[in-house]
Amino acid sequence: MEPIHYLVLSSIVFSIGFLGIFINRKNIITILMSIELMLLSANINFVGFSYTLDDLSGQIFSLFILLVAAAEAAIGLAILMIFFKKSGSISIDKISNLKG
Amino acid sequence: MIIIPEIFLSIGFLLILFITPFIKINAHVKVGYFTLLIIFLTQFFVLKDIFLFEEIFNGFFVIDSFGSFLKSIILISAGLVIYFYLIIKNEKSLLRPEFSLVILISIIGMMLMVSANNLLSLFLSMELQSLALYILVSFSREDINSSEAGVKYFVIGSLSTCIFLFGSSLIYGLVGSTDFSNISQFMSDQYSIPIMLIVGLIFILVSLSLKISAAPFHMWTPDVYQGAPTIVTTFLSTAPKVAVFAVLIRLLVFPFGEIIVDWGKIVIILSISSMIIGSLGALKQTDLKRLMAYSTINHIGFIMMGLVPGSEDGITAISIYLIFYLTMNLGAFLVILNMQRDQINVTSIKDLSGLYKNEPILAACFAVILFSMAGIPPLAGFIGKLLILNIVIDNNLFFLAIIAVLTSVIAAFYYIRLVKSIFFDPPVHDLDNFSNSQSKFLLSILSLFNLTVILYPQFFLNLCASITLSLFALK
Repeated sequence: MEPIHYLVLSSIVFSIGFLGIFINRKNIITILMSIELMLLSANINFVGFSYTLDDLSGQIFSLFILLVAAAEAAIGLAILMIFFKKSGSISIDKISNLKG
Repeated sequence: MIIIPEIFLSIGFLLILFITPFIKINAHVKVGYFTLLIIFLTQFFVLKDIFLFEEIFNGFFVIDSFGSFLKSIILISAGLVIYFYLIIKNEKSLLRPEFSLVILISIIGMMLMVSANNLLSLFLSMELQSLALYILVSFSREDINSSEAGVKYFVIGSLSTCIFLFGSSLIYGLVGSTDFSNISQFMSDQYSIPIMLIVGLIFILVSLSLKISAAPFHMWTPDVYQGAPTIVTTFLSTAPKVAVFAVLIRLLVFPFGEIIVDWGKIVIILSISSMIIGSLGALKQTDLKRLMAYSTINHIGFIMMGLVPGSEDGITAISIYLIFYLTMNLGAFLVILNMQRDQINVTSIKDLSGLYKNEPILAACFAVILFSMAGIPPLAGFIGKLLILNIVIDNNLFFLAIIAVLTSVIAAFYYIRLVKSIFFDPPVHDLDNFSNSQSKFLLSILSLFNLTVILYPQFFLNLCASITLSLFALK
């Protein structure tokens, strides 16, 4: 496989995640899913490049990304829990107290 | 061991974490003082190695005097924030021992960030500090605004992480390594720079400007600054900015120094838009914390100008401006932290009116800090702005200098509006008296620093110039 194939695939996944954050009008869980997608697209890149370059450091990088993604999801869900307890909803339209 | 400050901080953090459950009474105060002690001792370890230059852990981190100097600035400002937390009256939901501990974790992240010399170590340390900051912003569980700000900050912060990772994966694909020195080596070998490398650099720059809140990536700043508890806003606007600027300087000047023509334009656009948005956006604000957010954006734009030439003088000016910026911001936030009416924190601009009648000395100190932010000579802010403008004009970037001066004039308007409402407006509702003498003392020291720095500017110039020298010794 040529490296360009990985690059096209990861760019598509990244764009889906990116658009998911900005077009999505429903709830915050969808945003968390989009963020996971974007992190995975970077992973595809690293693993693909590591395969074509025959260099291990890309795979190590992607392992660390998986680790950080788990921590980030945990903290994001915890923050969402606090928000839900106070506002009673996780809809994006409700996040509009602060503006000016 | 070279990396002893970080190890000491981590061990200290674990130690405090273990003893916290056994402290029954006033746990948050005791843990706060322990944290201060740890930070104070770490300062010695940092200063001990300030003249050292060494790459450690296979080039994952680099220890040099530039890094050590910024580390000690980060430690000082974080220590002051924890001290503020101890002396002011906080909301009930903030009175938990975890608060100082989470600040400690984010300091460890920032210190590693300053000395990171590899995209992998940079990514991990940046995550360490941002994850801690997400928790801090949503710390006040009783307040819906705080958790809302937390959600916003989390979404934007994670987005910036993803963009950073995608950019670094592109660079890795081209270079075959994530090490800064290998990237630099790759670039000097190339006859023409491949476009993918520039795309990767743009991704990384976007992600860093999201973290540093440079316009047009500033959308989250006013909301998060207003929603977060004020003490967290103080922390958010001081130490992380220094750390991200250190990363920007290390990344742009050393591995990507070859393509200064390409990133120079991006930095110019970022700084112009930050200065314009930071000065125009603040005009209509009624909330002090939102106003401080726009003022931060304005200052960030001004500091970024010093990066454009990528020269030694520019980085010296940036370091000096960062020191002055920290003193001004800490002083202004110290006043906002102490503004209470009937034991409830208030942050509106109207609440400041007539402060002069009740607290004349305090009002004068606050006015000095506001004038310094506006860049009125002979205060510290003026010297910082003068140095940066000097660099910009030396490099024939006249349009940039003109925009900088014009936006500073607009920005001066809203600082002086605050001064007017402090001194000349009739008091609407009296604020509670500023009860503690410690914060009065600290505020007067900070404003005195801003007043008298004109007498010894050479000290800061020499200090920062010798610090920056180490950054360029490598080349």
